[in-house]
Amino acid sequence: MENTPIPENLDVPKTEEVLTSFEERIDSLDKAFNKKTEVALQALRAFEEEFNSYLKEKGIKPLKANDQIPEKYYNIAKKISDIGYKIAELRGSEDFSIQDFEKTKLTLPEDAKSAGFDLIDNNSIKCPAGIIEFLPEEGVITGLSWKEGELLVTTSKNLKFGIKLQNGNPVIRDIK
Amino acid sequence: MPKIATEEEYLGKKQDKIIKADKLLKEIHNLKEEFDNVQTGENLDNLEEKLKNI
Repeated sequence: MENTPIPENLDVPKTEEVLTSFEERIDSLDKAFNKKTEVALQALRAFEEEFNSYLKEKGIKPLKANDQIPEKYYNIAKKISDIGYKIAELRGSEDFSIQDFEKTKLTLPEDAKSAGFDLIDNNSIKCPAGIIEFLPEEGVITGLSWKEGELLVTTSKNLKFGIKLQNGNPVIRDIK
Repeated sequence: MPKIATEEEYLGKKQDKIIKADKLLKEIHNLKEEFDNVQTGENLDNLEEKLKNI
């Protein structure tokens, strides 16, 4: 019997490619999320521009707060603004421009990394016991520092928290 | 106080955010459609006016 030749590349993913780590899954979800929200932002901005040009053609001033405009236009303007804020909220940014969002990049102190912390994004920190998530009302993380075995976190709502690990479990205190 | 989530809960939330982003993109498309309808309606009104004046 003739030997069946073995193809060089089998169209089957290798086991290592199927089993992805937590970090890889986060990375893949983050990439999908960033792409979708960027597309949404660009679409919203392009539409806002088209809408404002149309208003201008009709002799209506570009929109500012408290401008009096006919209801049918007001409803569209309000929805543009609402969607903009919803995208900003989803992205964990207080401003919906991409540039401002990029400015919020943070670095975790090396001591904190050695202690077992890992910064996931600007509102979550991983530790051995799970993921510490800051609530929307607490704002996004704006500062990280390390002092005497404690990770100090400041947020955009001017709150400060201290996080220590005890047997891998986080102990969080509110610093007044 | 910040909450502590398991890895699976955390990944689930990330997936929910992607679904929300998709919904927002759909809202933008719907809004564009609504605006196109306003424009079409106005064009039809103008046409009616023009026809009246013939």
